[in-house]
Amino acid sequence: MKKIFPFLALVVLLASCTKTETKKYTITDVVITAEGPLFDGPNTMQANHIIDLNQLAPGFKADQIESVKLNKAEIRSTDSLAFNNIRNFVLQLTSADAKMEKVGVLNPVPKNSPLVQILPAAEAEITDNFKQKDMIIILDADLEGDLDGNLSYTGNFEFEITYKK
Amino acid sequence: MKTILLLSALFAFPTFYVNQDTEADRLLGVWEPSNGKARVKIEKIGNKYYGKIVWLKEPNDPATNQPKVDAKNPDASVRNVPLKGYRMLKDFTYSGSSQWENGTIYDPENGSTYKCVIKMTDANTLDIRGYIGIEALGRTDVWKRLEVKK
Repeated sequence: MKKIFPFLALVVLLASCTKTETKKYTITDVVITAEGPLFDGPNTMQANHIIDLNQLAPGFKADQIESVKLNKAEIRSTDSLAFNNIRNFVLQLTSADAKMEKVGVLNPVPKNSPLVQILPAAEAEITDNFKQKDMIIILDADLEGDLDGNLSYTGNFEFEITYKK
Repeated sequence: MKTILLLSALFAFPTFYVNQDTEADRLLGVWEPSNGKARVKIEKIGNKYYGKIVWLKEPNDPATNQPKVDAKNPDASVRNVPLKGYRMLKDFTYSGSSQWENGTIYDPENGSTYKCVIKMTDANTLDIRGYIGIEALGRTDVWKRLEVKK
């Protein structure tokens, strides 16, 4: 039993020596679209994003990532209608080899504003999504009434990535 | 002879993948669970299949007369997500033999997520089996396609 204590102490010491650091990862001006015609109710808008971990540090490896959380998500409309025909937004992320996760919601969407902020979900597990080559950003837009054309918005996202140095 | 074999293989592979896709895409459409309380549209995002609620028999909460929301979600920060539009089937991949696996099903009535397997028993019928742990200890519900394919 006595022999185990020094070993455990060494394990605890090594674990505490692994330093972590936090940096911001941003996705800017990504165009999120849904092809029309679109019908009253929830419609799926999508954008693909290629993950560039070099944004964090040159030569950054995906397995260094410990956790990821969404800090901020803003959606901008350049349409004169703004978001007046949208009841609510639900934001999700998915990848080929990672589960879809709900990362934020805005219900209801405020009227007459060309820019809205999605409220981040507290418990979204998106670490695996950032360990892929790319991911799909999905914005479910609950449309009031039908729309003949396409729906298109611009998104800016800020994530906080905690990683092993 | 080798050249012929190589050429055959080159032409056969794309055909195989196209057939796989077509076969897998039979899941797309609008489906109704046995209780008739909702209708779920299954769509493809990337290479996976997802199902979202597009119709509710009772869209409003009788207590508030407002559209129903995901009030039982364990994450309190997303309890205001509307049930209409809710993606209750997630991340299914086609495994062959009319079966889609590796997905989950969410039950908004109790806020629980279960592992799930979908089996198409005929063009208009799905066996949706939700389970915890092992598949044998699960429950199967029969869903019917809304627009019946002949």
